[in-house]
Amino acid sequence: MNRNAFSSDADMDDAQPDSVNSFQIWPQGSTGQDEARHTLKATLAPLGTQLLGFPGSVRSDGQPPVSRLQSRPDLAAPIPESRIPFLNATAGVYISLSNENAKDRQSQEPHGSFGKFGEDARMGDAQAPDVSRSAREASGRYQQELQSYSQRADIGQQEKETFGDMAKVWRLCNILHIQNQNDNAVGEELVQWLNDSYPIQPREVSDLTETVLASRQPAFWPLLNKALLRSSTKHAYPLLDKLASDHPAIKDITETIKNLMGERPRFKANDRYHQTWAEWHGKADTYSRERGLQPRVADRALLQPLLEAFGILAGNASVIEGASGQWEEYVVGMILYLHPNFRTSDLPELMEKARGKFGEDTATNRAVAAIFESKFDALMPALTYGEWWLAAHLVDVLNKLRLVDDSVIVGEVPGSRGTESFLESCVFTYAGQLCAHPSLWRIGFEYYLRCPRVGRAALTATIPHIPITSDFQIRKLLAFCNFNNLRDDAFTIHRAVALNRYQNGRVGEAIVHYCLAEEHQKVAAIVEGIMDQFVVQGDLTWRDIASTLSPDVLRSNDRLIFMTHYNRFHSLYEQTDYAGAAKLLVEIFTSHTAPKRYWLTLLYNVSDLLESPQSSIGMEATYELMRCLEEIVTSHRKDDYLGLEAQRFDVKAKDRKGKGKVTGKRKEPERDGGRAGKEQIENVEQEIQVIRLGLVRNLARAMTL
Amino acid sequence: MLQGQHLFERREHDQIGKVSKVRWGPTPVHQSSLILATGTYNGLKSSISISQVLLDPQSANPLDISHAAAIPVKGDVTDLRWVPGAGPLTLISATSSGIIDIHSVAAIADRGKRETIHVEPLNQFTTQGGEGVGISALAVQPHAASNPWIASVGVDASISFQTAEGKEVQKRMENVEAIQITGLEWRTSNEIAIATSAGHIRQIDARSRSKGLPLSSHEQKHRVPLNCITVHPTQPDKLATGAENGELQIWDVRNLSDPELTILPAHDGNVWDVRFHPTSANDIATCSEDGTVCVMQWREPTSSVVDTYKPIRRFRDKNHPLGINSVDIHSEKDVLVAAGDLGCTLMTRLSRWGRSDGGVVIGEGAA
Repeated sequence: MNRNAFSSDADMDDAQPDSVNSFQIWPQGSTGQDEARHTLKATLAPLGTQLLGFPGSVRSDGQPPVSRLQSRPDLAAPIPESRIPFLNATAGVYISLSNENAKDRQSQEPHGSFGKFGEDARMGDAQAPDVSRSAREASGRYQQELQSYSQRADIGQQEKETFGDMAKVWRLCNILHIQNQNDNAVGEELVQWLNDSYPIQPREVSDLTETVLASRQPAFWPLLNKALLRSSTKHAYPLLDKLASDHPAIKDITETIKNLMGERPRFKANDRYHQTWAEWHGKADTYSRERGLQPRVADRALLQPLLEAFGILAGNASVIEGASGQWEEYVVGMILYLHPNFRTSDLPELMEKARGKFGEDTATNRAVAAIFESKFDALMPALTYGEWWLAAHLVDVLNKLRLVDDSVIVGEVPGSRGTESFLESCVFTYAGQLCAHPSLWRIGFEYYLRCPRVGRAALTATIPHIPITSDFQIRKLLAFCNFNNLRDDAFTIHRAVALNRYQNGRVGEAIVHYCLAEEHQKVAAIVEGIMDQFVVQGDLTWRDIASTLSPDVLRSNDRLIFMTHYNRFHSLYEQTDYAGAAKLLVEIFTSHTAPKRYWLTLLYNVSDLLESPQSSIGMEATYELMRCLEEIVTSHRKDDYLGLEAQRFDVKAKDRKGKGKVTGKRKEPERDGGRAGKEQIENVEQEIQVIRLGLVRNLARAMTL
Repeated sequence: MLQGQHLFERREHDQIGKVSKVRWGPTPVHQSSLILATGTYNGLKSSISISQVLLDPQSANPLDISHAAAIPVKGDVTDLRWVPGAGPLTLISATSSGIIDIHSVAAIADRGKRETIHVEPLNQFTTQGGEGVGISALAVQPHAASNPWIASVGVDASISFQTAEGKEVQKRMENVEAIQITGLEWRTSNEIAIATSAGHIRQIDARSRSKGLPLSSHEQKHRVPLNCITVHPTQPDKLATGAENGELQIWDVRNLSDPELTILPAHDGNVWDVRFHPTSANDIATCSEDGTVCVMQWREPTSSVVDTYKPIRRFRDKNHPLGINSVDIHSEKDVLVAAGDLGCTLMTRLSRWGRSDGGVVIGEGAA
């Protein structure tokens, strides 16, 4: 097949390593690989005709991917069961936040200033929730859920790492942008973030403290510097104690470092802090100079590293730069020891200097860097290479805080059509993942609902594919459709259920569901079917149905109205209320609710009533009945109209011959009356003569009375 | 509509999937611990889970939930019942695949006096003549000296009666309704009551062959599809049903030809479950697709009083905006539990909240 048949993600983002330049169509059943040996995945855009391909997360040669977050995650990858409570919990937060946002938008819509409506709307303004505050609360909750899930003992290592990375990105964003609405100093929180996100392993410290003359180990001073840069007394103190025990002569120096670390003033926006900071900084600065330290360190080999240690505490930029093993340490060290009142808004400037130290180009690193640099246009594409959960929720919160204008970035998300916003694309893709899961489709629906451009269409495409597992689930689906005004989708469900019920012999339920699907022709056909069974075989199923269906359903279709009236006639007849029964029967004729194929059956009922002295059918009514009788008898469709009764004769004849015994399954009456034999039609015509005579006699009686 | 809103004290995301039923075990394990059964509706991934709920020994407020056992089932869990009585704890579940499972649940104390829950399968059978015909609801015969009957309703509107120990169906009634039966409860030790999607209820004597007569409101506007039914714990003539339009309906069926119906507007969406308070039986708890649990106080209607109910409390959880499918109140500890589509269990102790004369309490609950 032709290469270059489709454009790839790499076309959109040339900067990605291991980019895929072209896709190929492989034979059915084989797995494709690009030159970089990625497994290629493709997704059919649910609402379009295009196929969008992208590199999968796992290399098909069985090797681990170059980087965990390097390539986009496999959209079809199964969601681990352990993750479900997390996804449910965060979905609750997301839905709640978007509901508040919707309320807020409603309250901001222009409204009239007169009358009660205006008053209500103003009240709405006063009560409108503060969406920014809600978004911050939600962000805190997301972070809590991420951290608590990533620390669970019962999840796999890869899951732990994936969620650890997401927690890292979210928390950083929280510290620098989401919670920091007044641009406060963030040094202490960043230190905490650094220590939690890239922790010093206790083993690294214990390995050194258990060796003799640890300071001569190559790892000792870099680790001590790392602990100092992070202001981590937990790790620095044991190393300093070990240093003092190996070199008792410099114990006072190590104690000084410990004291300086312990006494480091935490930033407060007041004059006293600045004074304390200046004093503390001066002290550290004194020791960081060679002349200050040299007289107290006899061992020349220790002087230089100790000078570096004091240099870090004194905020010496070049020392901090040299000592930091990763750029995040550099940034945090600079903030802690050089610019303690550093604010988020100052970060881009500092990041310029840190740029040269950026590490491996993973999606997480790109996201972290973008957050530090406040470059949301770089953050958002980076997020799409991670879990879709992170992309959908983080962009949503940033969007609600008006930190990003997501409308400018489109087309970065597999499956997106390029017409929706970036946020919508992320939410849409995430919703698609959820809807493919048997436990999560319900929350997937909620995410789709929040995709204004393509969500409802996606729901329409998805709802028919949700496997129906129980009646309760059907009711839940219908409740969702009705609440969200998804009328056509509700109809689709009703139609499917109706067909299922009809096939299982649950005619009453089938009628209800077809009525609710507004399938009036099908309702008419089913009603006629069961009425035909009554006429031909005497089956009374229709009476059960007519007596139990709710009035709303019964009123929704002409055939049902006829069935209801006819059922009422039978009830009156059973109660020997012949006058009432006769009156109702005449009404059925005059109101034209009965199909003509049942007129003859009704006229049989009339003739039964004519025998009763209590039933008084007046002159006009008798005329009308006679007219009806002649109308079907003289019609060119006479055989159709007489057909049902003719079939009854046929069944009777077969019963007499023993061929018409009930065999367990109902025999559907012939829909085409013409199929009834000529002999049976003639029998019916003879009976018609009896009805006619009865009507004439009644007319004469009515004229006399 | 109720104005006051309370928050649940506890929210635990402990279920794998959407919860269809939640039921308290009949007796507390001990003074500070209860047993809770939940069932999910996730198709092939559905399960029943048994949990132990620890209560604060001082206040009896729910403190923590520890997951004790998960039992995978075939099909959605459509109903869960504990067998009443003083015997060993027995849980009966029904599924959409037509299978009834019976489990014994026991709390066993170890040497450290910590109690662990043990679950053992006792019996499994189908009531509808084989797998495939799902069960919509089941109920366990009350006041039975031993071996109570289990009544179950199939999606084909048949009703079966059999004992927990036996495999054979003792009695079966076919095509009881032309439409769907959505709820089932034993009204007395011999009579069951069913609710239907056509808006009527029906009482059926388990001893007779008659299907009984449908009972419905004379007012057509109150003939709305019903989703659930429950029976007053001390007055079997009083039934409560939850409707598709959010109404809670109280039926007085002493006059079968003209049952009295009290309508309480409880919710804005489908009422999925309704329970009378086991000890303070004029309080009725309902849960709904609107994401709230409502506890209403109902009193006997009198000729002069139109308003026959007092709204008491509405509970919601800000972070559980989806439908709540099941609710239950523990008879001794007064703890209300609810669960729904987000798979989490929501709990609060009812007596923690006061009542005001006006019937509406507006206050802030603890998160």
